Amino acid sequence: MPTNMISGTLIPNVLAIFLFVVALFVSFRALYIFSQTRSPRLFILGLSLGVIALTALADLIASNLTSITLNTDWFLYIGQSVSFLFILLSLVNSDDVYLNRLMRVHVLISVVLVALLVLSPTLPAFSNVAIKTILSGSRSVICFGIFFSYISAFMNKQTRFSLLMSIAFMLIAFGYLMIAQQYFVANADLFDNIGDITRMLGLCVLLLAVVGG
Amino acid sequence: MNQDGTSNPPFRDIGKEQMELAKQLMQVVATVRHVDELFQWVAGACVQHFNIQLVQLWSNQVNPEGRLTPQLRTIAHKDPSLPEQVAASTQMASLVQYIMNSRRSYRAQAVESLFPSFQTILLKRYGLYYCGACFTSKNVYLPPVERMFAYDQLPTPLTMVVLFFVRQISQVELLAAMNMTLEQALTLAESSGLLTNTGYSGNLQMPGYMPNMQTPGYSPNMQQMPITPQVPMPGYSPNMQQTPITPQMPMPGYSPNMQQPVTPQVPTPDVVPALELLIPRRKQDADLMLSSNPFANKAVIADKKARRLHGAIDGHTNIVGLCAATGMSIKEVHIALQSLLIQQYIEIYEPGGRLVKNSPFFKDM
Repeated sequence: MPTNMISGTLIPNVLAIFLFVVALFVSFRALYIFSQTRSPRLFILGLSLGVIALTALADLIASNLTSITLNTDWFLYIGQSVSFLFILLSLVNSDDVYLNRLMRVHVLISVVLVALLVLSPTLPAFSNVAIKTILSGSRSVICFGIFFSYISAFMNKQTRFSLLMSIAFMLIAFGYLMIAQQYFVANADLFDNIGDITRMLGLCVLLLAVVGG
Repeated sequence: MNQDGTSNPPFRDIGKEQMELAKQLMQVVATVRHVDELFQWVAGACVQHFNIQLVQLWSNQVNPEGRLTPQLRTIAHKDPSLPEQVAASTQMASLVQYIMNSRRSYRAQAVESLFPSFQTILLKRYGLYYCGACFTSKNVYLPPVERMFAYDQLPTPLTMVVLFFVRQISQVELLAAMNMTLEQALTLAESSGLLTNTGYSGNLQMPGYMPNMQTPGYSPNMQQMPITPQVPMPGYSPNMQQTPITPQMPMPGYSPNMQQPVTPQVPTPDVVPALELLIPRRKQDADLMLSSNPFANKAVIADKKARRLHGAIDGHTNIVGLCAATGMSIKEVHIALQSLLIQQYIEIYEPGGRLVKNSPFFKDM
């Protein structure tokens, strides 16, 4: 097998598997604790990471299954953007009524996202780079927003958890930023791989925050 | 429909009844010779006008040694078949003692939370489902009970408790009306010379009384809920639903031309509805997922009953509804709520939506 083919698919596949495992683990833990504490923030986190895990799985399958065409990029970009957005929205306000309402909206939107996944065999590919760039880049913007939320929390109260989460989302945000730039540079694979590796580091720190923060 | 299967007449307009009673009080006070005659009339009038099943007037009485004990001055009841041992028992005297110590009034609440189970069964048999209390004290002396061989009893600083028993607690302004009636009666009694300005001047000893005592939980057999201490309300609105009372209605019968203008002396602390009517709401930890790690074990509610109750809280259901939803007794719910409050998982609200900050039901609020 040619070396460039190995490196071309290896890193994205490893990232997809790693993202799937980490996101699914955190999602299950969050939903389990939600069942006991009934905290809407935990539900939103659990559902968001569940959807993100699904996007990773869909991307992995679509990349390696060549017999049928699955345009999962719509679900990938929109699903991840929306999931990160709901995480951000759950952090900006702690009012019980607001969070419960957000939780209900999140459930409805997630159903629509799953419909997007189910329709991926029939959805068209991205017609132009602009749409892809906007959808891809929005993930970076939202993750930077989450980073700023955690860094503000760390400034108010210095805890290991908030520090680790801010580092994690900073790395994830920069990773998405690198990926978004691949559409404008000649060496797209380099930016893509760097972005993926940065995201993997971010996921490692996220896992560390959840387990030991 | 009541718990015993009987039905009640339509709700009375408490405001109108209270005004009618006040008018009659002005006429009656001029005809009585002793303050106990006035108390007897007031008790009977409250039973008749406010649809109360049983009214007891208690006061503190001092003996020559300076020891204060609660004494039943008068009693009135609607049901003539009510036995004396049910109408006035040692448990009631203990309850009155507690109320005098706490120096606060109490809205009507279920008798299960105030009396032992055997007493509760007896009370309910005669339609006495809920019990409330009015407390008052004045800077005058109350003559001893008029009877033979009472020569050793001295006028005592006026401290009175009115215990009242009702079938249902829907009329939330009943306590206000009772307090106002009592205050009016005492004011008129004072102005008519039925109360004295001299009496026992030694040191008073009241068992269990501490001058700075807060509101400890009353527990007749250490297995029931504390009483809800609440305070007299200076006025009431006849159209009040479940909102805090505002002192707007003038005192019926007050005349600016009276020689001794009177001002009801009522304290002004907050009034908290009965425990059963309070509504718990979940309190979101603002730091959760930001500064505090929700995946740490401390985020989980350890107590199983508290966790079940926390899951059932929807921000709209009151404590009675939560008891039904969870299948827990009101005592278990109270203990679970106390635990959740201490861990700051919930807040308690009145039916009107006001946050309860200092409830005597719950510690560490």
